[in-house]
Amino acid sequence: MPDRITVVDSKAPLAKGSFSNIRKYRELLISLAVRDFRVRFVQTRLGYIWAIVQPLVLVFILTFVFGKMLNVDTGGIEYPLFALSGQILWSYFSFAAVQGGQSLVQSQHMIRKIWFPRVVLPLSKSAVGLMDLGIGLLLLLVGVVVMGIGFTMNSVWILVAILLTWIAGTGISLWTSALSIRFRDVQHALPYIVQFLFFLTPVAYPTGILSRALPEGLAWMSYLNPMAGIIDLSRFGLFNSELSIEHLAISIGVAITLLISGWIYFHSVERNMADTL
Amino acid sequence: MSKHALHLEGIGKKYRLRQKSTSLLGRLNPSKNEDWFWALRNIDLSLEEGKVLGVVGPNGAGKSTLLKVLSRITYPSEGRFTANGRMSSLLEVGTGFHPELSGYDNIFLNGSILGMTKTEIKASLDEIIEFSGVEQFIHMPVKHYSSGMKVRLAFSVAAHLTAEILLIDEVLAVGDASFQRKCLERMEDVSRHQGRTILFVSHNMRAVNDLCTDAIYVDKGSLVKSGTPEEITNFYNRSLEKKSIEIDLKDRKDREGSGAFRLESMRFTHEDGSPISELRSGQPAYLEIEYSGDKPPSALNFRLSIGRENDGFIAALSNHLSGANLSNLPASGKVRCALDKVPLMTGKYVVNARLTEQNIIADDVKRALVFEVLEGDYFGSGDLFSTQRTGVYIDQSWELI
Repeated sequence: MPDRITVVDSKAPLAKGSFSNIRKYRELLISLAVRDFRVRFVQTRLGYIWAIVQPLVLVFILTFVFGKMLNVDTGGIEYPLFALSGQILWSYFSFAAVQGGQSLVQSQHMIRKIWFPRVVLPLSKSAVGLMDLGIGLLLLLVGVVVMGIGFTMNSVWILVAILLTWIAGTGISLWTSALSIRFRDVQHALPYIVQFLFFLTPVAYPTGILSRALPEGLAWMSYLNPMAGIIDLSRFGLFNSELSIEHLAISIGVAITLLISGWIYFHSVERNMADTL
Repeated sequence: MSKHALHLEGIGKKYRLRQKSTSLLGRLNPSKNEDWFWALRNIDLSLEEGKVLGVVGPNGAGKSTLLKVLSRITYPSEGRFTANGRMSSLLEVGTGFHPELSGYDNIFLNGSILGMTKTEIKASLDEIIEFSGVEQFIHMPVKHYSSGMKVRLAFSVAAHLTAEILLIDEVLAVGDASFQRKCLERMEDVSRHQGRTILFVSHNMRAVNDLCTDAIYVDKGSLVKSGTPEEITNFYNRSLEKKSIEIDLKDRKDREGSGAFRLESMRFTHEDGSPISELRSGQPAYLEIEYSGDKPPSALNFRLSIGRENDGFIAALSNHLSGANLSNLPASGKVRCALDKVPLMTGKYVVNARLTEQNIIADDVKRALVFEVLEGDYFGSGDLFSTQRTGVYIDQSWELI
């Protein structure tokens, strides 16, 4: 069986064959994701209904605070729909970043006892989040139809926005999960950083508010937060809102850089994970 | 010539003795000299397909590190190895079991963690469930299982691994005796009939003798000797013996427990306290035990397990077992256990000794005493029964009814 030869060489370059390994271990990735999804609602009365209730409650609160109390101008879009369109992407991003970031330390027991491509752990968290995202997306599409906005060719951009969210969230989780093996501080800081970032991301308010708050000529800086451009893109797709290509490019650039650099860093420390944990 | 399933060239693994501090303060003043410790060095080894290799050696010899390197959990610091075939490792059974999921779901989860595909798991699903003996509870969350049930289910999954090369670390040290036997048989089956290659780390010399075709002895990170399982297990026993004969009990370092009380010496004596040179079945003997501690103990219990050379438990001596509380003992002193008639048959025995105070293990020494019992007429009947077997005589009387 020459197809199943394993060679381990202390002098081999790092991260050789990491992609083919993930292909081989995709079933493990799926198993772990399914486990997380099923376990989440164990011993709850509402069960999977929670997955629908949670985004709805959040949108309700956002609508009350930003839509009613602060009366945010959404450019004519129904506020709940406006909020939902940002919220589902943001939730996915924060889930992938926070859960993925904690995935290695959380599963350290497994890491010490068995070999598998470690990257499966943060990736499986990104996959679990997809299920919530799917539910949110469904709610959003129902809303779009009910409100009579309808779909155009532009609506496809929402899918691109989802892909970009995956890239950004996974990129951060690769960095933070690998870093938190040596520095557990990351685990404590990450949820806060993500929470702060929420306020700097146009989830509950349109992007213009943020840009105008920054000094002239520095508006682009808010797009160093990849989710800013990505949420703009999804709203452009759905509601034809304003979109600056330059700003979007900055966000996409940051997201892709996070993923690639995170991937490289992750694999550079992968060999010693079991020893360092 | 059969091909090599595993081929190791100069495998070595070093660890930093003092972990580099990860806190900020620690990083500001780093220690200048970093100490490295080679847990494994220059291991060359070839294992042919279908062989079962037993890896034995004292604690901390590097056996587990070897297994971790081969199973790719940790990366070697030097050298390389090639594995020809799919590899699975079992450093533990039930890795990744989730308490909230049912046994059924856990089979799939654990199987995929061990590297099985869904198709493979499905193909042996019925067998796995049957082998585990927990059919009735298979749809119940694993958190409601007893620990025994969990282990059985986990082992069933492991026993149905389809990999050509299996790396196993003493996972057999779990579960009840009958299930252990079943697993050993299953493993024998796997290796003999399906041509799998197994590397098996164990302290259980009987298992090594029963299961393995080859064996190696590892000590201080090096491969000291390789040979047949018999040669190696004998070598292992001799080296342990050497340790326990050359080193007085009080100087032994390989002990466990809190250390609040220590066993200092153990010997067989006559009633007057003079040592017995030849212990014979049926004769009176006193086992004298010297212990030490800082303050007078309460509820001190001496637990001695007498067993055969390789493994196996034959009899227990314990003051609590016999009903003797030994109250008002001094902080350090000597106690003795009187045997009216030594009930052991001819042969060599080892004593694993454990000292507990209020049920907390204070001291635990394996092979604290090794002794030989010579032929003797236990019942005074003149019939010595089979003389070359280790075992115990049971008082008995016979009559016509």
